[in-house]
Amino acid sequence: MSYLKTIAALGLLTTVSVGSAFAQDLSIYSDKTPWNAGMTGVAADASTASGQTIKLQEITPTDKYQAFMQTSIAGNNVPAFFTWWNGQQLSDVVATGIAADLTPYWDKAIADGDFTAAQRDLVSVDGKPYGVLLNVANWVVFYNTAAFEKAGIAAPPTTWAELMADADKLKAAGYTPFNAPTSGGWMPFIWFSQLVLGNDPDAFVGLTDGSVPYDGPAVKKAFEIWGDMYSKGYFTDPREQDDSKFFANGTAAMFLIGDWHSGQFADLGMKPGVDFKTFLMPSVDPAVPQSVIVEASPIVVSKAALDANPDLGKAVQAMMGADVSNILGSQSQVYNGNLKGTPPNDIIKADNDLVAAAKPRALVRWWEAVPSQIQGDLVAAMGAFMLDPTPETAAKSMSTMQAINADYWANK
Amino acid sequence: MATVTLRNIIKIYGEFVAIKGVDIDIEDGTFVVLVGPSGCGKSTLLRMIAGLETISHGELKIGGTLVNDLPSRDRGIAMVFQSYALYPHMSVADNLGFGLKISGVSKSEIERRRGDAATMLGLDPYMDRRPSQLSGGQRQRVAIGRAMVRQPEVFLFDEPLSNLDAKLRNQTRIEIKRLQRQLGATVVFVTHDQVEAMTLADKIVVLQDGLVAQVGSPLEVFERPKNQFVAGFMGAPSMNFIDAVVGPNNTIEAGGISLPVPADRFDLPAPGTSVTLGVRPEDIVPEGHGTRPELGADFTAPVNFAEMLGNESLLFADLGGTEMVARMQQPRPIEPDQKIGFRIDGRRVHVFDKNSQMSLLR
Amino acid sequence: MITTASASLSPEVLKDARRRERRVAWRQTRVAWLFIAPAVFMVSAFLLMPVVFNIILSFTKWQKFTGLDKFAGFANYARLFNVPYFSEALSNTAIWVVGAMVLPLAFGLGLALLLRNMPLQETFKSLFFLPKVLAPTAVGAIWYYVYAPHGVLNSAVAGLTGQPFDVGWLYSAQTVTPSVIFTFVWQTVGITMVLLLLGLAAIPRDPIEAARVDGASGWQIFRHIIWPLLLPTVLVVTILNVAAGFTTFDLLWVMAGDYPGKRTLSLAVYMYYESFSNGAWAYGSAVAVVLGAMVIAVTAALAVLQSRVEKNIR
Repeated sequence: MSYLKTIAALGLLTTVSVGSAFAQDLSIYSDKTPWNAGMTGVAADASTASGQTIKLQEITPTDKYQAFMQTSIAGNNVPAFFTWWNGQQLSDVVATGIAADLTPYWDKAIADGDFTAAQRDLVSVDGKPYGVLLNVANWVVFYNTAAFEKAGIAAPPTTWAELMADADKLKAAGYTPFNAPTSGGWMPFIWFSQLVLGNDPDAFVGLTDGSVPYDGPAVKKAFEIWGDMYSKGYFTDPREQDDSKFFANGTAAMFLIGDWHSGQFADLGMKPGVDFKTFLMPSVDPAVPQSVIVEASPIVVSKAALDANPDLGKAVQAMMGADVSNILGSQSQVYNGNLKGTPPNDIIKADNDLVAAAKPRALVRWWEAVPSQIQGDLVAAMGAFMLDPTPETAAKSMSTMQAINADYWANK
Repeated sequence: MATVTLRNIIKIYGEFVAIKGVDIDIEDGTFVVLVGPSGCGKSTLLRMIAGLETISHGELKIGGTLVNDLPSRDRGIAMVFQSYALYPHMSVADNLGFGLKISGVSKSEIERRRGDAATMLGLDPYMDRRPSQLSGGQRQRVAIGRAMVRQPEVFLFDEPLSNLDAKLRNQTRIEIKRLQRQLGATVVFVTHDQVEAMTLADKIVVLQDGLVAQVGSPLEVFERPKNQFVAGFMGAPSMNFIDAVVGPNNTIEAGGISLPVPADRFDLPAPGTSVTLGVRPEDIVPEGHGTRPELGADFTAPVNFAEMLGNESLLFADLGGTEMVARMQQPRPIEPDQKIGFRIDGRRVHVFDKNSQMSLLR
Repeated sequence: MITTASASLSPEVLKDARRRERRVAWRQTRVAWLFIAPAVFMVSAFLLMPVVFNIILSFTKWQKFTGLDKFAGFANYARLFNVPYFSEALSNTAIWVVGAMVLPLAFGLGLALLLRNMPLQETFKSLFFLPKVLAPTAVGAIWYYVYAPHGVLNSAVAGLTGQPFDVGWLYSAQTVTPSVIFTFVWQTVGITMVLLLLGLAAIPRDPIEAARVDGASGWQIFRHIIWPLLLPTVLVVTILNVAAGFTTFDLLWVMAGDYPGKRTLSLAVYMYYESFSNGAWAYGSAVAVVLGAMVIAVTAALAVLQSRVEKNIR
């Protein structure tokens, strides 16, 4: 039956794509469920500004959302607004021609002092901006202050060796050092990419453009460290589907994740800056300069919707204003980088300060940098290792990833 | 070959009592026919002998051994079903050999017995065919052959001829009888057709409502039926029954005539007692056809209806308000409502008690 | 025998007779054609057309978000074995097909034979049939919690043994497929049993009784009489179950949604992820074509076998 359903869907797609886009409610589509409160506020603000009713529609988990958006784009039935990713992911969408060029809105926002030209580059393809910034986040390590205290750790680690020593202390104090979920169809890449870039940031970049193989020395080394950490019991049960559970309930002491997660912890009852704080992940190899992953999420605007309904321009402009930034911040603890906006909490403010002080090398997240056609397949192989962190599975995952990677670049 | 003995056999289905205590003795090598109308329990009885139905009560012995609780395969019986029950997915040869094969009989022995049966039944040309490729008569012969090759103590036949057309039925009937003689087999044969019963049986068991109504040779059952049911069941067309009263001096009064009967034939009750008079159609002789009975009574009545059968006619005429069937030998055309004279043969009539319906024959 | 050819049986008369018969046949069926027409249209538009489109697609380079512009010959098919995931999905599908073919049949047949002469047959029948009435997604959701790390199954084992028991049934390559197949069997055994009971009911009682009288034991009766006569039904059931095994999607989708290796759990799932998640439409279509060809080949072979067996017992 599923086979028939699939081909029927394909058939429908052809039928639909022959015709033009058909009318639909104005919506912002999102897969970012934890930010629903803030997103609803954005939708409300955009509605007021444009005089149109714009509603929030959520689809989760991420892989299902991507599938939905793909069929929407292929079916020429694109929502007016949708959250997306920058980097390679954004290029793919822009290449289809469905995304509106937002240059005039960005020009105004920069002139008004809301954003900088550097921030525009985060959502630009070939020099033109195609997204409104929804989130600009640094990837940091959250830590449970009570756990650190109990384990006798005075200050957060600044080197890999310290981090490992602290992990042992936490372990001895009854904590699992790191929360490491596989959920959402994407989280397995977190530690994989961190361990690669901590040893060799150039290899990390090379992985995403086909120049570095997934079974080469850089990746092998990462898997060795990863497996070693697993054997020491540093990671939480990868089968848990609530990604914040073990950190929020105090089982795990640290969580490497984008700092937009702070709102989620706050929702779960942890006080930012008191119950949890952050530090920048040190490089694994002390000889390698520190890197930080910067994640920027755009809201992409449908060109067709904007052309058909010029009032939506007002909504776009409103989304770039300080009000929306503050709504996201206050409702969901998400910071979109607006210079006039207030960083939503001390954590994000502190992270910005940390980054400003350490001046680490900024890297685009693996998820955004890797070709989207193989993104999911590669994450699956990383997840397989997390569920069975043995050298055999590591070898199998590496050869699987490289086969997929090589096949992709050979057939591109 | 073996004897079969049934002692006080009872079969119940829930609250319903199908067989109400039956005793039958079947001697070695005899051909016994269980006959009766549908629902009388004859097939149930046969299936109990075959081991296809449990015996609720009583004893069943085959060859002197109590077999109540033995499975079919250990009873030394073979059965021919009404539907033939051939294995539809097997060739004729396999149908014949199946029972032997699963009992572990050697291949050569199977070949020999199968060959004998096939030759005897004329099945040689059809050995590779499937049942669906055979005619009804051929299937019937396969079913009989399948029973034969097992060389059973007792053959059981469950209405084996009822699915054949009239002509084939007569032929097969003769074949079965001939085979039984040849093999000297003990046969229990169930039918609802009294002609089959008469022609085949050494011994007829007439069943009525789960009870044995009468056991006897065909002639006995026909000539001396024990009760009105047996009298009516055996013979075609059926015996005519008419309400009657015992008259003076060995006469029976019915329908306005007084019929003299032989003094030594019946134990008649006192004159004036109500009885039922039974007369077979052949004992109502139309004037000018057949032999005129010496002892008898005449009546004349218009013929309501005449059924021409070729060698004879059946005439339907009223006697005192009861329609009687008479058999006319060497028939001639009869006009509707034509008046005909009849004579009832007083020597051959039957008289039954009005209440018990038992025959008053001496 | 003497036959007298009628003088009127000329070629012209016969031709006219044939024409008349055809006219009557058309009159009798034209309304039927009218009613069938929409169905024919629907099938062509929504089944045949997508199939053709799918086949064409599989010979192109259509990637995510891009058009159907370049033909790629057999490149997509050649890629199938470049990527280990296809082989993984293929072998999992093979396990599914064998499992779906054998297990519901074995259990369904056992139950059908046991229930055949049972007084409470109808009750048991409804009971076993119940899972089929539930939507597969609902069934999947229920069993997801049965198999969860702290789910019903593990808790039960832990409770019985007094030892902590924490098997991730749906999180390991070794257990996920058997676990979901078990759920499939749980769901399918009822309908299989009901169909087999119908098949058993259609077997005339007489040959079975004849075999009993012929001296056959219970097993021999099953082996030599019931099984051959039931075989056409068995094959119909097998065709249904094998097709279901090939195309299982919903159960895997719901139950194994959290398993990182979910995309290779069957060809149907793999096809979905390649097309809809990765956006490799052309490659996904090639997977679909291979899957479709296998389903058609296997079911057609079974159907031919079925009709032969059917003819054999008539």
